[in-house]
Amino acid sequence: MSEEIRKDVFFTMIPTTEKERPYGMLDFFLVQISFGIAAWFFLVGGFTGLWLPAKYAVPTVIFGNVFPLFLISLLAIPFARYGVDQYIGHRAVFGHKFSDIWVIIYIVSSFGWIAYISLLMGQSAWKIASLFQLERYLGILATEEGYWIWAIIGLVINYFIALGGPTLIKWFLRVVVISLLTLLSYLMYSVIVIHGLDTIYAATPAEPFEDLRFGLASALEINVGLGFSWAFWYGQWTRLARSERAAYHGCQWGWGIIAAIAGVFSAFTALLTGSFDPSVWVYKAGGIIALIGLIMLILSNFDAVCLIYPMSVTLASRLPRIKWPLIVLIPTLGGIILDLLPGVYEKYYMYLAYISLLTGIYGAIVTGNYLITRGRWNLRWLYYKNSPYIYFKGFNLESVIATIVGTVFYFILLEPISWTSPSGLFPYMSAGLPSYFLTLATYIGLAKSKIFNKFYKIDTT
Amino acid sequence: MITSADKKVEMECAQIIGFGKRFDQRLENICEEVRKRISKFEEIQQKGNTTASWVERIRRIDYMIAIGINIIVLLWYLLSIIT
Repeated sequence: MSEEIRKDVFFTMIPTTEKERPYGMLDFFLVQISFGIAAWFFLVGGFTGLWLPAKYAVPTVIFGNVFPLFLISLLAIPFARYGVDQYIGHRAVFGHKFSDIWVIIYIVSSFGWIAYISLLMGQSAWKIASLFQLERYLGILATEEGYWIWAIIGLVINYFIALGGPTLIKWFLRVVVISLLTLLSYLMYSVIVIHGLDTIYAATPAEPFEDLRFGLASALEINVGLGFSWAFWYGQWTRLARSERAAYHGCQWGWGIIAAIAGVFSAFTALLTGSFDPSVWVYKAGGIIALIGLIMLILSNFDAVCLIYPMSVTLASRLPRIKWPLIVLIPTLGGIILDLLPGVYEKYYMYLAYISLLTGIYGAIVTGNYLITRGRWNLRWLYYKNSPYIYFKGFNLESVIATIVGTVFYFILLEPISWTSPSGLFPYMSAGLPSYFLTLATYIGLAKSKIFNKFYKIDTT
Repeated sequence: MITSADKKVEMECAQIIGFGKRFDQRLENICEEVRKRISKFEEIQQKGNTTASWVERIRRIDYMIAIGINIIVLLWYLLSIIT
C-alpha cells in the first residue's frame, strides 16, 4: 500500500482497517470528552439556568443529555465494525439517494454548531481586548460590535488545524481538554466554595416561563436536542476506534454524563449571574480570573475542528474529485456566513429544537435498523450504487415514511420559531423524545411487516 | 488498448466514486483500494464469521452497563420532577 493511500484513509472514503486506527479506549474517551465539554454544553446549561431553579435544572441537564444519547448509542458500533464513514454506512438504512438528502441536512444544520463555538470565542476575545483597554489600538475589535470578526479569525485558525487531519487534531484537543477542565474547575470552585450550594438552590432564574410545566418541557427539549445531536457525529470518529467497545463507551460517557457536568455547573452559574453567556460569567469575575477564564474560552474554540474535520471527511467521500483544502473550506465558510447574521447567538435554544427534531428522527431510524439487522450490513453494497441498498429508486421507503411521521408529529407538539405548542401537549411530554419513539416504532413496524419489499429492485431479506 | 478487464474496473469505479470517464490516477488508486478492502472483508466473512468486524467485537456486558446506568438516571429524573 502506497504512502499516499495510507494518508488518504483519513481523508477519503476508504474503509479503515484495525492497524490504521489511531484511537484506543483512552484516546477515544479523551477525544469525545473534549468534543463533549464545549461551547454547546456551556450554552445549553446557561439557558437551563435562565429558565429553571437549580432543583429542576440539575436533573433536566443530566437526564436531557444522558438518556437521548443512550437511545442512539448503538450508532457507534456499525461504523467501527466496517470502518466506513457514517454517511457511507447509513446508505444501508436510507438507500443511496435518501442518504444523500440526509448528508445535505447534516452538513447545512451543522454550520450552526461551528458558528456557535466561534461566536463564543468572539465574545471572549473582544472582552479580553476590553479588559486591557485596547480600544485605541484595536478599534472595533475591542468592543462588542467586533465579536464576529474574532469569530471569523477563530474559524480561519480551525481551518488550518483541520487540514492536518486526526493526528494534528489529537494534539490540539489536548490543549482544549486542559483549557476546558480548568474552566470547569473554576466554575465548580466558584459555585461550591465562593457562593455555596445553598445560595444556588435558593436563587430564582432570571427568565422563567410563566408556566413551570412549560419551562420544564422547554429546558428538557433543548437538553434533549443536544443529547440527540450526537447522532450526526458517530461514524466519522468511531471508524477510527480500535475496538467496537472503545467506540461505544467513548461516545456514551464522553459525550454523556461526563460532559453533562459542564452543563450542570453552567446552569448554576447562569442562576447566579442571570446570563446564559459563559464569557459574561468569567468577565464578571474581574481581574486575573477573568483574563485566564477568557483565554481558556478562546482556546476551547479549537473544538470547532472536531466538527470541521468530520464534516470534511463526509464531503470528501461524496465529492472525491475536490481536493482536501477546498473541501475543508466548505464547513468553514458555512460557519462564517452564520457568524455574519445578527441575532444568531441568542437564538441557540431555537436552533437546538430543530436539531432535536432532525437528529432524533435520524437516530431513531438508524437505531431501528440496528435492532433489526444487529448491525449486519454488506460492505460491498454500501459502495456499489447498483446494489440492493438502492431500495426503491434510491429511497428506503420505511425510512422515508418514518421521517415524515416523526417530523409532522414534532411540529404538532412544538413549533420552534414561535416556541408554542399547536396541540397543547408539549408541556406534558416535550417534543424530541416522543417524536423519537414514534419514528422508531414506525420504522421497525414497517420494516418488520415487509410491505414495501415488493417495490424494491432486489429483495434484501 | 483498453481491455475488457480495464472496462470492468472503470465501471466499478464509476459505481463507487461516481466519476465515470473522468479517471485520474489518485481516484483510480482510491477506488482500487476500496475494492481490495471490500474483497478482504468478504474473505473474513466467508470464513464463517457472519458478523465480521475489522476490530474487536462489542460484548453483551457493555450494553448491560449502559442500560443499568440509564435506568437509574431515568428514575432519578422522574422522581425529581414529581416531588
